[in-house]
Amino acid sequence: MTETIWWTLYTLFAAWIQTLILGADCFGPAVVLCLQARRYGSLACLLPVWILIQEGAGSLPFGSMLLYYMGLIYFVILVRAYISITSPLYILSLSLAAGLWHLSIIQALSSLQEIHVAMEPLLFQSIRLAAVFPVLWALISLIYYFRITPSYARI
Amino acid sequence: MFGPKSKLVVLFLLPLALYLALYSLNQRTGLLDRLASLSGLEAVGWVTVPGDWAKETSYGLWRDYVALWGVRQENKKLRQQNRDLRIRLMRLQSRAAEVERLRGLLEFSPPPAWNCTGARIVAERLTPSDALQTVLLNKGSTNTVHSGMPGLTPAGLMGRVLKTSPHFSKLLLITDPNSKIPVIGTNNRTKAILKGKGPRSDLQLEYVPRNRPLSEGEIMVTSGLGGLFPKGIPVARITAINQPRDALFQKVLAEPVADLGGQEEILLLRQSSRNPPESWILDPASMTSLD
Repeated sequence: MTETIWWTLYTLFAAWIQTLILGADCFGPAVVLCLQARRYGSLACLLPVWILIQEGAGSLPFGSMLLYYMGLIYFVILVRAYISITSPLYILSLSLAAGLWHLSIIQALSSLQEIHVAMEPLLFQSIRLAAVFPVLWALISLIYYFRITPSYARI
Repeated sequence: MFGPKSKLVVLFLLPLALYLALYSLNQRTGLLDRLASLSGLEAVGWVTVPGDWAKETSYGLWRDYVALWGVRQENKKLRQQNRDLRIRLMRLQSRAAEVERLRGLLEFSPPPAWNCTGARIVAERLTPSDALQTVLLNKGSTNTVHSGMPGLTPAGLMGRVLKTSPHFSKLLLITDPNSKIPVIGTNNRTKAILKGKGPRSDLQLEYVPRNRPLSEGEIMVTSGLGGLFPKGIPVARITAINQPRDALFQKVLAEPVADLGGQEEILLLRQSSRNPPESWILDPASMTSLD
């Protein structure tokens, strides 16, 4: 119950925060958190909602955010196999991967769909995404582990 | 049954195949785009509006009632008055220019019939997939807003509606590289295509032959070609003209006449054949409510 309320409130809050921090991805860190906490059921329910929010509010045809989150899940699995969650390198590599992955996807899909995307703002958007990623991850991890599921606070 | 390597391959290929299937399905039917617009855009719109309302109300309370109550009210009134006067001035200027042009023409083609409705800009970029220069408006398909509708301010054109959900829509700004608008010069009547080059970059006038006259400071208005925009809306002011020696066309840069970053409300134009107005020029009385 607490978890449902938490994720509902988080989804609403994240959707609003994204309008204030232009181009930031507030759901990516939450995907990482769900995978870390092994909340696969929650992720399976939440991810379609988050993808619909991101795709619907975006300006590109459907597909880019779906691919982005698929890639992010792979990155988490890959990074977790080599780096400990407690190491700062863990989230820093994920943030870097998320930023680069975002840049590549938007560029690749927009050129496939013959949509011109200005390079400079896209680059800044990806940098902003990568910069906000670890901050949000740290923030929601703290709240989640210490307030929502205290028994999991052993990372 | 599967080894670790085959498992990894299956785990990688299966989602990829699923993604490609979804992508192809969407390309053919647009089903997922519609679903995302109906749910995602709508949801973000509903979250953004109360969030911004709470923020604005708290600021507004302080500014209006505590700090500068009287000055703020007067300022609001004067701004409204200024806006109305600018609309009227634009109407008169355009009519005067129209009369001058029509004197030289034997054949008069009446301006198309348009209605206008007001909308508020509630947010700018919303998600990481918002790679285009867009703003979110608080009017959607239930307010008879549809894709392609021009959006403008009293100063000039801002863009056109890119996509809609029932209560919200996204406006593609004229600075976006995907925005291409047929325009014509107010002084020299030279036609061109105005293309965006991204935020904080000048607009570019394309396909202007070397022998066609244009002058710096000249206002480019919509030419009405293509039928998407009514004729005569101011769009951009020419800032630089360059004539490269080995090029067929002039290199012309321009800046938007509308303040794209500082707008809170805009007007959306809708073609109306049933009740044609006298001209496309905006009449404050014909504007519907912003909310």
